[in-house]
Amino acid sequence: MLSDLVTNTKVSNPNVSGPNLSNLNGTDLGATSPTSSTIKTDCWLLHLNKEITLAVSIHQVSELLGEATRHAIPLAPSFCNEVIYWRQKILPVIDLGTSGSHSSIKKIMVLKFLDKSEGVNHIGFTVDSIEKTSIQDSSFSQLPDELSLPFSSSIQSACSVNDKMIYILDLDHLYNHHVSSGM
Amino acid sequence: MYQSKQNSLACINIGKLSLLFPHRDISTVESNSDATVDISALKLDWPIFHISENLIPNPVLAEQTPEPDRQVFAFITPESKPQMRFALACDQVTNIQYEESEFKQLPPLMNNADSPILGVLFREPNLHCLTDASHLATYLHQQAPLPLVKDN
Repeated sequence: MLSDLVTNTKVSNPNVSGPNLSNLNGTDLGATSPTSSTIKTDCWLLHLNKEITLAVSIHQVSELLGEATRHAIPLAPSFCNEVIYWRQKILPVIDLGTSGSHSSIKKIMVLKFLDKSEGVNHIGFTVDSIEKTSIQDSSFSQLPDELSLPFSSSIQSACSVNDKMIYILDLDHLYNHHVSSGM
Repeated sequence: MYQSKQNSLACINIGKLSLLFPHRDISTVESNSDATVDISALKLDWPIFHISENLIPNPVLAEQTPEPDRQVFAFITPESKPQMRFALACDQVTNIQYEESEFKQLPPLMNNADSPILGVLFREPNLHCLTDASHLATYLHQQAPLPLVKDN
């Protein structure tokens, strides 16, 4: 159930400064709520596993799939070796290994993005849970020098919330670039 | 005059894996429960490849016999590299009709430079992987080199 996955939080960490949502080149992260002192952006947090959380625009979410038949693609990178058939399209599914979830009950969040070559395109992420939140621009920070993620080169920005890094991905870059190493 | 845009491909099933080949790549198909290292067909010897559902090859060794559930063999010959011909153990070989528009490319994200998979075709409830003899032979010989066969 969607309600099982969703919680609502307000994220704010005014002690951290750096690149913010409004500075993200070409990425609309959603509705912003300017106030006299801060700009907040509504977004979804996708908890991919215990360690990795992404933030995406509320406008990027197409669907949360509770049941979708996954089809294995031989020899594809381990973090993305399955596809689903969704609305007459083949969508790659990013799966970083959800914690304690059986494959039959994994949820897949389908996100849309602007593909420079194909127009609007979609990609799926397996999620442990999702969370709707507002992030202040002041929460954003510089990216760590070294990231041990399979798609580090596609990370556009990050913010630190309660000592946890939350990443913003360039989905067009992720979709259209070969990643040589799995996770 | 109506012209059908449908074409057909050979469909080789190995467990949940479904591989599509141009018909010209399939020299013949036989069922053989006694095959060991090589088997003969069309008066030629053919090295046998068993592959997993994830395309990992397991060349049959002399002391091994084929898995009991894979006793169908597709004899595959790359047109440009006939010396790399091989027999692929499988569950069945069937025919599938398709239209060009049904084929989808995998996104670059999922690419593997060594992979022989050229595209995918979804036909409820299965996903089929398109390949051809040349790409699969090259991949298999990279992964588990076998002596190239000689023409008899």
